[in-house]
Amino acid sequence: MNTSSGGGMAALGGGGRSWSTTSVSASGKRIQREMAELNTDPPPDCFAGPKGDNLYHWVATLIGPHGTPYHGGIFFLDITFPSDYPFKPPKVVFKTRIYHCNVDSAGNVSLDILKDSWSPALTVPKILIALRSIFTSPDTYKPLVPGIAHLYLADKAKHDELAEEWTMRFAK
Amino acid sequence: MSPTVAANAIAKQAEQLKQDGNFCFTKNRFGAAIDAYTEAIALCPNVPIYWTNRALCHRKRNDWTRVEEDCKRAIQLDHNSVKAHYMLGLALLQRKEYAEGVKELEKAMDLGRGANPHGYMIEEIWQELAKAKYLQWEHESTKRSWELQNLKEACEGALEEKHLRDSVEVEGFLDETTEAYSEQLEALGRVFRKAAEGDTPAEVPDYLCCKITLDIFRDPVITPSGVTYERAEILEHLQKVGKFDPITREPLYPSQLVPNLAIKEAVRAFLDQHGWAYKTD
Repeated sequence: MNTSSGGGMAALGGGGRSWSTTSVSASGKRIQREMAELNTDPPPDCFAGPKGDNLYHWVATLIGPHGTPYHGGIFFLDITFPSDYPFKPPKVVFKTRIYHCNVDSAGNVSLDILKDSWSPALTVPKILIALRSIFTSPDTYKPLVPGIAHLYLADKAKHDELAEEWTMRFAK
Repeated sequence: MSPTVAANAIAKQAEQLKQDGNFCFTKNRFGAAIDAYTEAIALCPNVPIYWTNRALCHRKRNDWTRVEEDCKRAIQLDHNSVKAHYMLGLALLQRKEYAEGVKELEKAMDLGRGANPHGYMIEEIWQELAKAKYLQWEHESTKRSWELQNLKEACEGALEEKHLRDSVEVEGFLDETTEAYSEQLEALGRVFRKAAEGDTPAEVPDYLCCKITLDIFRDPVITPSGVTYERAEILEHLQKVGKFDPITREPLYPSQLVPNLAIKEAVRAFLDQHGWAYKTD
């Protein structure tokens, strides 16, 4: 190939074909596929989907599982996908207040798969399952709110009572 | 002037004309570019690039007959020209010569991938190829389903006729013949549903999809852990995220990736049977 042939392939885009050439970016395509997967096979007690027309801004809901102080609560989360998704993790924020050592007052979550342990093979359903698991087993070794982690370890009954109270107040 | 010196001078002049053409092209002055390339071709008709560059101008003007002519000349001069095969393919598709057009695009893609496996051309050629294959499938499957529908109606009609005849002949066994008739009708429905399965859009099986793109494989490579990924995606992961296998999290380096030819064949076989899977959006 002669690389000096000017007007080369770079100029070949957008030719005169009749059908539309709207190209969805790679990240957009991947998000669309995750959406389809969630529709056909949603994980239990979870919901997630785009907020409006923007494919990159989702809203998700998690239902507090049985046998936890979060039982019966409906927790809303915002999921924001970066433009180079899935090579960067989505940002997940709790919009519903929750008494939990891994969620701070701004709704930030400490979940290792959303940070250093991110892998592009992870998908929204897998993230939702991981988020649900922090309801049943809080990670007290890497807390965002050390006070809550401390109470959980020192006096679980008191911790659960507070968590239940918050669930009643904010998540129902 | 010796003949070689004269030939060199002509080649130089043609090269200058090409430069002029390229300049006009970048300014979207396609008519002027065509004139310059035409002069270059008159001087040196054996340089394939002059033909492909002129074809590109014709393409911009939707003059597909001329695109086809110029590309064919370029291919005669250089049968490995990715651009010539690519644009010839597009021109043939314009004429609804699906099979021939697809063949040219596939040729362009094989040549392009060989020259530069990560080239941006590959993506563009793939998009065109997938669209063409989808159109081809749509065209053929419509014909097939129409044929099937006609055949089914004819078969049902024949069964009904036979049933009426039988029920007149064997009076008293009406229940039995009616039962046999409805069983046959049901079986017929099953046979025709089965025949239409390949043309019914469904999900691509997970084992033919990359765990990163969640889409059907194009250029699958396998890692030492035994997991297969789309080549471009796993390379991007290794560069941006980290040197590990996204599923097993075992250490992984680009040099360890090996083409997975078996999966590639499986994808090809699947697409041959299920043209709807070419739909790219």
